[in-house]
Amino acid sequence: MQDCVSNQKSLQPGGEVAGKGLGNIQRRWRGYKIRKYCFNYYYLKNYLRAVSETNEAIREALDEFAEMKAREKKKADLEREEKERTDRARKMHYLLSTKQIPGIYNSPFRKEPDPWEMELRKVRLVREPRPQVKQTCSACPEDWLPCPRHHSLPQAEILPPINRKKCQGPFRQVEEVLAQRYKPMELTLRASEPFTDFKEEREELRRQECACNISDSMFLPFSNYHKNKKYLPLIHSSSKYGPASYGYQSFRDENPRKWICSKDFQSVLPSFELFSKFGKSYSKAGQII
Amino acid sequence: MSQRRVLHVFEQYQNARTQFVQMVAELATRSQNIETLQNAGVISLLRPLLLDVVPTIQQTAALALGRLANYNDDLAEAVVKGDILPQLVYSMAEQNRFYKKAAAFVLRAVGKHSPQLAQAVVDCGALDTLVICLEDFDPGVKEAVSGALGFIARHNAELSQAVVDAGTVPLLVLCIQEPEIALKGVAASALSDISKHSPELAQTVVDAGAIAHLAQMILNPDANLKHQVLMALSQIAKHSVDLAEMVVEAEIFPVVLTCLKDESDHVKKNASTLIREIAKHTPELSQLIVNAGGVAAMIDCIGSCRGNIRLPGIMMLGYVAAHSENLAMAVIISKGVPQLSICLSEEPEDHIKAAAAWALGQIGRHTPEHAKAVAVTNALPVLLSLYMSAGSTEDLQTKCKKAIKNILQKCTYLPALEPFLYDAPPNILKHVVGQFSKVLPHDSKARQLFVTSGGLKKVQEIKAEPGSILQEYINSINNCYPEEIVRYYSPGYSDTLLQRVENYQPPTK
Repeated sequence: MQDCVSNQKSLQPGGEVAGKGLGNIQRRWRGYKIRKYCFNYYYLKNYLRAVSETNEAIREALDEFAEMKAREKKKADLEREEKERTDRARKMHYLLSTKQIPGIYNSPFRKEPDPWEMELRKVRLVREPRPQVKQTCSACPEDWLPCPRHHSLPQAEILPPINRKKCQGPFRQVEEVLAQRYKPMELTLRASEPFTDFKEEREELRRQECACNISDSMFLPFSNYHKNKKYLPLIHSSSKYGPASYGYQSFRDENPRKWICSKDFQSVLPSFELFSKFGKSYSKAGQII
Repeated sequence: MSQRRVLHVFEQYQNARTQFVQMVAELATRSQNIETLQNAGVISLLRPLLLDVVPTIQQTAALALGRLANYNDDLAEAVVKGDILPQLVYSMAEQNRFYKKAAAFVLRAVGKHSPQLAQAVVDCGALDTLVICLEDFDPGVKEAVSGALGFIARHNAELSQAVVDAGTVPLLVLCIQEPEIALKGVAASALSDISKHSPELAQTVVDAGAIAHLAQMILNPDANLKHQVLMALSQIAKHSVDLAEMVVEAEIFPVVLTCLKDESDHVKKNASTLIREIAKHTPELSQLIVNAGGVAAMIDCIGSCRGNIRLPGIMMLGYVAAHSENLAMAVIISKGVPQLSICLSEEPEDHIKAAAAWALGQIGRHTPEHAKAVAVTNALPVLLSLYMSAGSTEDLQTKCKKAIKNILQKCTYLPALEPFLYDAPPNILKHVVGQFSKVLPHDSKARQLFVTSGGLKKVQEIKAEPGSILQEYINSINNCYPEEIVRYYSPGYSDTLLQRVENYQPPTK
């Protein structure tokens, strides 16, 4: 660069030579600029070195990550295997040898007991909790629909105890007594079905109809046929339905102000307790059989 | 007592119906029963049971219908033609969660087969109801509904737009924030199905704030969820530079690189796809991936798997290398070329080979340095043999030819070029001889080697049309050598020598 400039200075007077020098300067400058700013070899080299360093770092980090994952998986596998082993040992715990009798894994003809014997010895027997007896739902008629079981035959959740010794004496068969004792509670009709049953059923039906109705427009099968006819309602269906007012007001007058509560009493027929128990207990008409 | 008897009749009837739907639902799980069921008119029998008073019967009937419709599109069409969808849709909004789940399952099963069936689902007003159910409290319902929406949106842009117009996207984004892993996965898959069709749809998903939540889930240990999330992100990023930049701004690098080391192949493939979709847009995005060490991780990933799983990775290397020579150099120093050559030679499937050939061509086409890096891995002969092989597909052949041409035009590494003189077809030979004609005038050592290795002899044997480019190249090679040696290696030289001997008149004394 320096010598080029001096060269140009020295060659200033001659026009031709000056042009040549100018070209020289421009060439040099172009080369310098390209190397410095556009394609800097050292910069590129550094960049590529940095990239390869990053690559190494990433490769290492990823390998580490994969290794960690593999280790975790291995650990989980081992744990699962161990648990399976313990469970199996727990199930086969009855094969453990006792003080008196050696178990099948502890053969007296062999020098050492089977390793499985040790496994069985190590394992601790855990008593499983008794399965909880499910509470039967209330026999409310509203929810008989989704669970039909409740109205089918009663299922005995707890089996009656067996191997009871037969008592001496004029007693009934044990099965019979137990069946009587463990039979599920049977409510009387009065208790099992409330009076409002009918009303509620109807309400429910209306709700269902509301919910399940696909189209609100009525189904009109012969719409064309009746198109031009005006529908004339019957007197019977168009007049107001109700009791005739004659005699009602005057003969059976009632004064609501004298009522003690706002609701009317409901008249209920008493049920015959005896009938609903017919054939189900030992007594017949109050007498022990 | 009589009331009980009346009830008994009802109970019996109800038991029979329950048994019927349960049996049908069970039979519908096996494919060999389907035809018999269809011939027995099962669909018209199940239809009234959808309106049964007993919720369990309704649900089981819906489940059976769903299983039947899931099996093939004939049955799905039968469900549509039986006018069952309006019933389902109508009662879906008011029923309990089990029924909602079963109904969403039916809609999904019908909508998944074809765009027409999905359109039928949309036409019966299912989307509005599905959106209402998407706000349900129960995660199972949300999962089923998200699945149905995803299957509807999967087919084409119009259906996807319909799903978006129903206002599902914000709710799906809420779903991916739920704690249940399965729900997250299904919602992410639905979002990816929505956003895959057009940039506008993807933008809608982005505007709902999905990216941040999706990006957070990349580190989730569940493989299925990871796979869906990566899929969604790649479907968003594939459309435009802006969207890709938004995905990158969610700081998915270098976290996503860990997915390349995952045990599940699906996760690997989708992570590669995501990186490819980002890299393909601009040199800057590619640079970002290179700086994060993505290329090295990708090359390792390609080395660790086989078949279709490595395809996106191969393509990603090609895209990165295509952008600029510096990036191609970065691929080379990350040891990408040997891995690609291995893919080229050991993969059995042609489309993967084609991708590898394309990527190699992109790497080698920049400068002689790049071309040499490709040539020293012995990729050129493999490319040539694939190009010449009759068993290769047309696509593979054109890709190989292009790659060979790209590399040869820059290659000045003569030892790699020389074998081509012997077994290349004329259209490639032209480029090879051209390279020799460019290098030899400036390199005396190469000139010497060219003669001793028999290259010059081979060149003399080439029959070229006078006046063609090939002939020009040959002439310029010949001009580098003294005339005698050229003549010496020309075919028929021995004959002319003998001729001269014959004609020679020894000087008589």
